[in-house]
Amino acid sequence: MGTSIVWGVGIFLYLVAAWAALTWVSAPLALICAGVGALAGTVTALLLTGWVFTGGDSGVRVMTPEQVASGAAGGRKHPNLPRRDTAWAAYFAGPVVRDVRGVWGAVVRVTRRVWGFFWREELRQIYLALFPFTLPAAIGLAVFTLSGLGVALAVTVVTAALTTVLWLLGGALTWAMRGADRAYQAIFRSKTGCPHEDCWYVNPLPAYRCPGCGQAHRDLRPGRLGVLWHVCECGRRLPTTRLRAGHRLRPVCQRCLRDLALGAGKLTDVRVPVFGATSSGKSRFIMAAFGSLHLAAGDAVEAADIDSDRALRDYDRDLTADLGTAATAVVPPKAVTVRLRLPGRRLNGACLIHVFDAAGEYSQNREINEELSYLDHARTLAFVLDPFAVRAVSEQAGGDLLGRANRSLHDPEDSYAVTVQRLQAYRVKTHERCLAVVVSKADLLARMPLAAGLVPEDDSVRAWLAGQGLGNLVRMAESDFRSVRYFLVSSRKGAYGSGMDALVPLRWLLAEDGVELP
Amino acid sequence: MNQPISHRLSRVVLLLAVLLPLAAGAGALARSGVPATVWEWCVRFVAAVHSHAPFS
Repeated sequence: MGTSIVWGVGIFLYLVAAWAALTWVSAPLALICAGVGALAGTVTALLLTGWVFTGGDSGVRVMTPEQVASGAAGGRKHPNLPRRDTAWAAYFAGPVVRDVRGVWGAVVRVTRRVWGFFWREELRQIYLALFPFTLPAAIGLAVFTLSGLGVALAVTVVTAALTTVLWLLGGALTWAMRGADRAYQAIFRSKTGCPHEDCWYVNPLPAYRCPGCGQAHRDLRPGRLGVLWHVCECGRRLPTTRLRAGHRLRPVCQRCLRDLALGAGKLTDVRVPVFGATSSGKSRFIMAAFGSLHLAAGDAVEAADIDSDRALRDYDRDLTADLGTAATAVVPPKAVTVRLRLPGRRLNGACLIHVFDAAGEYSQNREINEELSYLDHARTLAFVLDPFAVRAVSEQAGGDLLGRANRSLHDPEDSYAVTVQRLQAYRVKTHERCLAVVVSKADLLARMPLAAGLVPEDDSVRAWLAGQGLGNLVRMAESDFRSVRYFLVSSRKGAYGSGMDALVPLRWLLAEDGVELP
Repeated sequence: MNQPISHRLSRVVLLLAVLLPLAAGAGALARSGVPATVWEWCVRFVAAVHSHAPFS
């Protein structure tokens, strides 16, 4: 009984003392601890934010260009070509999320450490024993925690608001720039064809090499990697859009990564495949056409690459010395490409002209003809026809003339059909294309009575061909193509400026493709 | 791997975007007298607690 009374009195006194401590000590101290906790939590979280944003936190993973290429910054991946570029993502398109996560991570980490420090096993019993006096510390810690999380939340909200505004502005600018770029490409027909053998891929968007490290960038369109510029892995800033990149960067083919001509992707791109049987005069026609183009345009025309420069020099040498033309090797051809300045045009003052000269064997053999995929993407074609391959002409021509003509032994109608049927088999819309039928060796043909009255005009050449038994070929061509014109061409140097100039068909073909020669 | 300078600049802008409104908000709060009012409430609360405390 006596013990119980002592216990009761003891507990009563303890409760009274605890209540007194709570009201006289803990309550005022809790206010002070809460203030200190709020200040400490805010300052700590702000310092941690600055630490993360200045790159001090090694726990925040950098979004590397390799990760961007593998999809870390998001965005669609096109099925046909690797479109995700290896470059730094724009800060607000990915790295910002990692930084905000880093701020949360740092705040939570530090808060847990602080709690862990004060809530150690050895201190826990003391806190419980001194309960009312330790309550302010617990309140201070709670306020410290809430303040830190509050700052992290404020950082998140401000970042989200700023990111949203920048995405809206950047998105609008991105679509405007992409739209302008695509409209420019459609208007000026600047999709560029790879001139290299066995590729001939038509690049809607070329890849561009970084001038710093040489890495090929496959997608320099405005987007998540930057609106106005992308940043290469090496740190070099690269301008976006075909228009701006085309000024300053070296374009390369998306498929084979070989060099394209400077300005490819930005300049109007004209591809002219020349086909016809062996010895029909294709190579000679091309030589003469480039020779005349150089005479007509002067310095405005230049070779677009080293191989083309060499080819043009060889052409000039052969034409000047009137050397015979060696048979073209039966290998997939590389285009001869020239860059032509167009003085009258303000916005797109130049164009690239690719001329493809495949060996005649390709026009005689359906199987190997299938290899020439560049035929599929040309808007204009030139079919070279040797008049001495026509039976009526060869029968009338003497042996000497036939010898000088080095006549083609293959039927012109068949060489036409091999190529055109191949195009149609590949569902190429030939009725949307233009065809120049070039009757070659006009200088030799003019010596024959059979060619009396034949003049280098469309109607005259057409009627003459029909009269020599090629009416079926004429009908087929006119039914297959949107526009067909007939030309009589002499590939000798003296023909420049005359109606038999090889430049006449080239001029027409280019005009059909929107390029008016000077 | 060195991150582009644009990332560093963006972070500085972002940091300023967080700090400047926070500083401005703190300044405005201090001028508004809200902290003094809150402090006064707290003191009253403590005084109210004291009035029910033993030995008061």
